[in-house]
Formats: sequence, structure tokens, C-alpha cells
Amino acid sequence: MFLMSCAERHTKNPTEHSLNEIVKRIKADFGGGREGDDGRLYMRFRLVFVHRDQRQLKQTVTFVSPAYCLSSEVAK
Amino acid sequence: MSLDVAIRLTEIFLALAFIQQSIEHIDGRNKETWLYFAQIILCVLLLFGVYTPWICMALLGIALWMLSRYDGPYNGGSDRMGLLVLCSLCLVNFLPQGQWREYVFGYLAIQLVLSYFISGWVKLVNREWRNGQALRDVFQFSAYPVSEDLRALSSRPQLLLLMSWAVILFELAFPFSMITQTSLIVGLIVAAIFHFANACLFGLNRFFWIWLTAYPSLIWFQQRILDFG
Repeated sequence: MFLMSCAERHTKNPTEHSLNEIVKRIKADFGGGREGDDGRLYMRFRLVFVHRDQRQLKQTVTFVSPAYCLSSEVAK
Repeated sequence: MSLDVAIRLTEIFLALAFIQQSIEHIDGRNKETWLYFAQIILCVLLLFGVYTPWICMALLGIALWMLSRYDGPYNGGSDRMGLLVLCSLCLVNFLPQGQWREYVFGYLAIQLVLSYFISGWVKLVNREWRNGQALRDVFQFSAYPVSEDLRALSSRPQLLLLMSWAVILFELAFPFSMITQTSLIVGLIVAAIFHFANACLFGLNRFFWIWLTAYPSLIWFQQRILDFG
């Protein structure tokens, strides 16, 4: 619920706090990542809000993050 | 139920609710884990009634720190209710014996009644709630941790329409449960079942425990009104 609240806050009024809280939680649970040119693993995320428009469900992307390094070690 | 018994029961329920909330944060990766350990220790002292006024103040200090740390309530409405109950306990523990303590606990009881009635009113004036669409959307695509099996309920509009109106009517009718002691007990049992269902269906477990903490204030308040009448 806090993550959802941070996503809503960041959409309405972007702050370092809400962004850091989202990144912190994704990093803690994320097992994947994409290898960058420097051989390290990176991740990005986006905030997608689903809403109903008449009878259809619509998705709106409100934020696309920059790349975050997941570890300082070079992936094998 | 006397005011002192209602206050003591509220302290016990709040201590248990806060312990449950603190355990959720105990994680080796979390820098603030020590603070949640401290909160658990304070709650155990509150549970046994040791230095209660000062323990309540210390818990309020932690709650205010959390508001700052999370840039608002960590868990929305349940944290707001927890803070309201905690502030009420701080006040009644520091106020001298007399009417002011009753005003504080009466205020908490009225807030509890309003929490149901206003919630029901907001749903009643919302077309999506009246035609069952709101509940269908919740099951279909909400961010709540609804299991895949439960998401299939979104394809049963008649059932969800019935559930929507059951929730609306219950919440609007809740203030009338104060007419007699029996009706209040029935009302509180139905309300607890409602919160329990929300905990099972949507993972809103904090609401269940924290709303229970305010029930003794309402049981006392109703008795006080009946005695006054």
C-alpha cells in the first residue's frame, strides 16, 4: 500500500523521497536486471496507472525511470 | 463498561495492533529495524500497564517520527486511526479524572461511528458504487494483492452489485446500531467481519486490528449516553 501511495505521490508531485522509496523496494525484491555496457546489472521501472474509460480499461504511463545500477560487481 | 475499563482495553488492543505492525518492518536490510524493536518493547510495557502515560508519549514520538520518515502515513487510513487512538490515550492518561477524559474518549467513539457513516455516504453518492462497477474494478485490476482466483469474481456482476449495496447499507446504518446494547454488539461484530473480509480479500490486515482498538470507546460511549438518557 505504501508503494502504491508513493507511486500516486510521485505522479502528482514528483519528489526525491517517493522516488527513493520506490527504487529501494524494487531493488530489494528484484532478481533480474539487464547487463549494461560496463558489464554491470541495471534496472529501470515505469509507473503505469490503469483506469476505466467508459467500458474500456486504459493504461497511462506517468513516469519512466532512469537506469539504476543493481550491483557494483560486474555480471558474469 | 466503565471509562477506566474502556481505556485499559484500548491500551491492550493498541499495543497488540502496534506489535503486529512493527513485526512487518523487522528486516535485516532495513536501517530502521531498531526503532521497530523499540516500539515492540514499548508496546509490551503498554500491554502490562507499566508507566502507561509515558509509554504512550514515547509511542506518539515514534509515530510522529514515522510521519516524517514516510512523508505522511505509511499505511493510509489505518495509520491515521492508529494515531487518533494513540493521541486519545495520551490525553486521557495525562488529563485529571473528570469530564475532560470523557470528552476525549467520546470524541474517539464519534470518530469511529463517522468512519463508517461517511464511508457509506461517499459510496452512496458514487454512481460506480451504486451499480457495482467500483467493486468489479477493484477485483479486476486494483493494485491490492488480490489472488488470481478472486479476480475471477469481477465476472460476476450480480454478486458484486449485491456486495456493494450490502457494504453501503451496513455503513450508513451503523450509527443506528447504537440504539440498544444488543444492536451495538451485533453492529460491531458485523463491522469486524467486514474488516476481516477486507484483510482476507485485499490484504488490508492493518485496518482489521486498528479498528478493533476503537471499539471499547464506542461500547463505553453508548452506555454513557443510555445512562444520561
